[in-house]
Amino acid sequence: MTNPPLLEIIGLSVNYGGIQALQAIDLAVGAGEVVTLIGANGAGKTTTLRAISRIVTARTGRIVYHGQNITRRRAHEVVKLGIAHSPEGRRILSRLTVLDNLELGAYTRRDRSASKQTLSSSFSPFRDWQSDVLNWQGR
Amino acid sequence: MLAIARALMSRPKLLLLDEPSLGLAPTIVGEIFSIIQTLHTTGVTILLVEQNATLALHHADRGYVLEAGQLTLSGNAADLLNDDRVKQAYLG
Repeated sequence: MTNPPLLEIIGLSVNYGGIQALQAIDLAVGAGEVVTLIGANGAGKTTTLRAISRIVTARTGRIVYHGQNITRRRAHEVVKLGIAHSPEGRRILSRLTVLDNLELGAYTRRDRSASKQTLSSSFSPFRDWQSDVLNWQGR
Repeated sequence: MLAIARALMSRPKLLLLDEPSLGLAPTIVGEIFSIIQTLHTTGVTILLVEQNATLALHHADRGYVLEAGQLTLSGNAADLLNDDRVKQAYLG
């Protein structure tokens, strides 16, 4: 890793009841890096992500993001700090429109006026169907 | 794709992606990974969890291997792709 770590995990352990899902793992992700976590089912990959976004609580260890200890922060605070989670199974709210789902992603942002701009930039990687979806805005 | 776009709506610096390819047709999986590549070039930092280790390592800078809650290996993605233990256990 050549860049300074954006995310650093030190000695993280997570338990589900009596089951130890993660045992003192150390991991770092540098700014601008793509880092992958591989392993079999049940190895703890999803648990690691859920611990970072504070859906599950660490039993021991520290999660440091941008130099801040976020181990005990709340999930919405972590989103505000700049961490977003695209969960396993995608968890799309299928009773809501595509646009509503997208707007939920901006829920923690205060600058509502800027969301429209983000809507188009969030979609820029998906050029092929960006215009289709944005045209549905009429609902 | 909607799930990824929804995550991008908060304008994250760090994107956690959990099994983005799971259950998708191969052509869509290809699209998802080219999107990951695009995000990478725009400066978004990504922590990617993937069942498809070959694909993940081909698109990552570095990787970690988790076994039963413990990290057993870590290194450059290219090195992990050539690691005999990784090959045997995850790359078929």
